[in-house]
Amino acid sequence: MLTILLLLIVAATLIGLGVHFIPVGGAPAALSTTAGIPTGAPMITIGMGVTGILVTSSVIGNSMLTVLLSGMSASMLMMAITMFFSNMVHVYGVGVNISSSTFNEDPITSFSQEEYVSPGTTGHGIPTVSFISGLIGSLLGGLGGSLLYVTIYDMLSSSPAYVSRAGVMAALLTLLVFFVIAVMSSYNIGGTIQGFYDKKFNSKIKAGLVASILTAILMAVIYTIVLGGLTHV
Amino acid sequence: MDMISNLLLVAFMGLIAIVAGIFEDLESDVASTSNPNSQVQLAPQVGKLHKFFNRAISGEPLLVGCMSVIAGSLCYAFLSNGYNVLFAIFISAIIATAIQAILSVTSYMGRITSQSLYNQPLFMDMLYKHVPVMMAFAFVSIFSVVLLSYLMVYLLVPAVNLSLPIVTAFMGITLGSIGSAVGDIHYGAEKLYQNQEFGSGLPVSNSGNITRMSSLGSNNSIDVLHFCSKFAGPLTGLAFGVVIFLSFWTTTVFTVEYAYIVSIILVVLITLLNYLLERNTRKKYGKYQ
Repeated sequence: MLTILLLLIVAATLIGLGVHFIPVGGAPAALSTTAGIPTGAPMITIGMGVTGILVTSSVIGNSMLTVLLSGMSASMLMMAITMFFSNMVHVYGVGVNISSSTFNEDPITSFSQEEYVSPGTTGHGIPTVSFISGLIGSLLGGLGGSLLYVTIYDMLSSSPAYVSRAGVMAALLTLLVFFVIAVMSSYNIGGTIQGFYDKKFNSKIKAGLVASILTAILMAVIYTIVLGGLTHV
Repeated sequence: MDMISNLLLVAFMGLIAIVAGIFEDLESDVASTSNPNSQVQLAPQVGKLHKFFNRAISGEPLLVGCMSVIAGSLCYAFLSNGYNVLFAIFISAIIATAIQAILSVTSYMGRITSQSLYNQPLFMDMLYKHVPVMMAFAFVSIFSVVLLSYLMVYLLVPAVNLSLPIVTAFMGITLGSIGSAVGDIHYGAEKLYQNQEFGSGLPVSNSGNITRMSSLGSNNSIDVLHFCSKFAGPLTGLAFGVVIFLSFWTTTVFTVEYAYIVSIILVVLITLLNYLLERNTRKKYGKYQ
């Protein structure tokens, strides 16, 4: 039981950390007023997590490592495709350069940013460093999601009463954790963030880590009680 | 042979996903659902009365997820009672569309009447014109999501280890979050602000100053639909189709032990493509002038 508690805490903390890495622009990004993914942090996190859960559930039964890596890669793939197509609409639909004024120079591509940002805005689209940050976020989130799914699935399928329903119940319980953690992290971020290279990231990540761990412990305790009650009747 | 039929099925799923994506994004444009709706909401407060549909029931992923799960649960119930598959999907999609229409009408009326403080009138012809269009697009999108989920749960080998309502919820949430992150930019940053210079983004000081006149008469949400169907809608569909196709293509063609390696290679390739896009745009468009 203690192992399950610890695994659940680790998984939920990974999701909480992952959300902080995702470059989120919210509604202003949908108007090309700021850089980032043009939707709320919980929305994109849940979308990414759900893709991971779906693939995890279709490969369950293989070795633990394979299942975890499959879920993780599915989340990364969904995130990469979404960010790429989002940039395409920015470039060809709105006609803006991909840039952000939260940093002077992209450390990966060494593209200067400020001259390409329209006055009155703080950037458009998702620059390469934010793109990589989004991939790291989806890596952590996808890994956390699939770890959560596998832990709950193993626990439920050990009880004869829940063998046939373990997949469905594990998927739902994992989805709920995504909702809770994503909302908590998005409240901590408070508006927009451009990934790990943003100055805002350093000031937010410490509180985010502590809050993620605390929320993870709370969720893990509730889940352990629920799962323990379900399987030991 | 098994692999070929599976591959055909995955390709078909990708196709259905493209249709679902296109129609979902256009539905969100004609009913003004997602992030850009903040500007439609803001406009009367800065003195710009308009003739746009105004509906924001919830975030797009949650709305599409909710409608899909209603349709998926109904479809599951019909299938358990031995109804024909296509009939079950058809009827459940129609019922979910009706629920979405009720939410849209009440949401539009509620939101507009709450803005009577700023003298924003409620146009009945907006309801008569927009709600049927919204319903048509919502129906195709919900139908496609349920059909896609049906293929995943009952026909794909190895099938997804989940039940139909859960898979429809998941598909709806994924579709909504892609539609929100990809398609809305064209509506929010371009169509709502066509009075601004092309290629400049939206300065904060111009928030709420939306384009209210069309080439003929007032700009309404059907014009938005026409505009967005040329680029953002198809691109959203393509994004969702590619996500679905690639997620299942890797596990169909390669064994599970290698599938995730292929996925990660694909992620690296997409990152490179994104880098090329960013570099070429800078070369072509140049600095802001």
